[in-house]
Amino acid sequence: MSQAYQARTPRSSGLYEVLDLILDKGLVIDAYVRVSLVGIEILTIDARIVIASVDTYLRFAEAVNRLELGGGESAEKRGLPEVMGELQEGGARSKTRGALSGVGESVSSALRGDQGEQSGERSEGPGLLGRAKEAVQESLGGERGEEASDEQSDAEEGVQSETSREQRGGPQTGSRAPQEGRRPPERRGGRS
Amino acid sequence: MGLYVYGVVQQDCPAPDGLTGIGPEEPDVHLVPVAEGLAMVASELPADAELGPEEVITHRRVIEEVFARCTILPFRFGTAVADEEDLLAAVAYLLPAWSERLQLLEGKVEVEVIADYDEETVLSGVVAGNPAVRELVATTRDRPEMGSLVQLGEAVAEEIDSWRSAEATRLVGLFGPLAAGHAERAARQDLRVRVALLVDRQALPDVESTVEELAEQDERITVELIGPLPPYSFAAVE
Repeated sequence: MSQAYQARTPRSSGLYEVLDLILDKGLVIDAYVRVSLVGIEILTIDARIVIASVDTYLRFAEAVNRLELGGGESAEKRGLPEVMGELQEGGARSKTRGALSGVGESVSSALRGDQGEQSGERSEGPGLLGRAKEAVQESLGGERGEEASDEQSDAEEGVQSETSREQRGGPQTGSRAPQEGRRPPERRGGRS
Repeated sequence: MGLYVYGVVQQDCPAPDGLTGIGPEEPDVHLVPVAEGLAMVASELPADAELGPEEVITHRRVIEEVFARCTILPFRFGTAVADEEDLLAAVAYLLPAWSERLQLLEGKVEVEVIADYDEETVLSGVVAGNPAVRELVATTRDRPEMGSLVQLGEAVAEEIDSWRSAEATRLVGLFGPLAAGHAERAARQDLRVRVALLVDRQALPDVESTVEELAEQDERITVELIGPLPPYSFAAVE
């Protein structure tokens, strides 16, 4: 199965793979200039949501149940949410693609939202956003669960640069970071 | 105007000419000499600059172009200071440790091993190895309620987390002395294990062979090797 192996040079591909290296790793100093980051934090926030969300749990539950029953059709009988239909092909590959497009999809929607609110004049260009969109279009119809959508729309509002350092502190810390300091009170005042 | 910094190199680093940095003006990337024989790779940055995905790409390009010439400790994306004076003040106490780290990383590169696993194999292991999960499977099969489904999924997710750590340790072990350093990386996807390895540039063929062997041994694993990369995961000094 040596076809499975492919060496890749960093310049030609793999931005997604190195993205969190660029955003999370590397040297840090007490910088005296606060740089506005636009549409960056959302990349890392959203990756965490994908990992530790109700949506993910439901996917696991569905996958394990399907495993035990030995067939995809019985999943329907159990009346599980439609959102999990995208995973019924099974296999690590299709699952992987599902998760990736999940990230890409909400990244691009978050970027759009952000640019509308904060910097409408900014041109998008190709690059990361373009790739994110490609990833979405390339795969699945992309319906997502209500739980995940709620979290995303919360996350879309959390693109202030002030909290970036804290939020980028550690990619493995699960869903904790997205709760912190990313709700502009003036806009979310009605929220309990 | 501010100064955007990309990384730290030795002063004698032959940084490429004509390298342009972040910003609409495409400013020249230049070296700012500091103490300890080190220099900061930097470019001018307008005070009101906004950094987005495009700039992530530029940041990466600059670091990799410099890395093609000499060892570099990359800065995290988005690091900027007001001017050279502030830069000197901010980095002064860190320079001895950075200098040491640069020497340690001389001739080394980071590679990333990304392994994707067959879902059925991993989940079967999880179910078989955990009685609580088996019980939840039985419960949810009879009565698929949202609460118990979430509970099951959460239990499975926890098991997958443990499995992932164990598997990362196993993968690192396969490389033995080839890996001068290693770091587990956030997977972002459930049935994926990522490890960053610090290896000698000259040992890259051996690293590739090890990855190939892994892929041949177990057809339920799809392995990818990414790199050579600048030592992003091994730059920071504790």
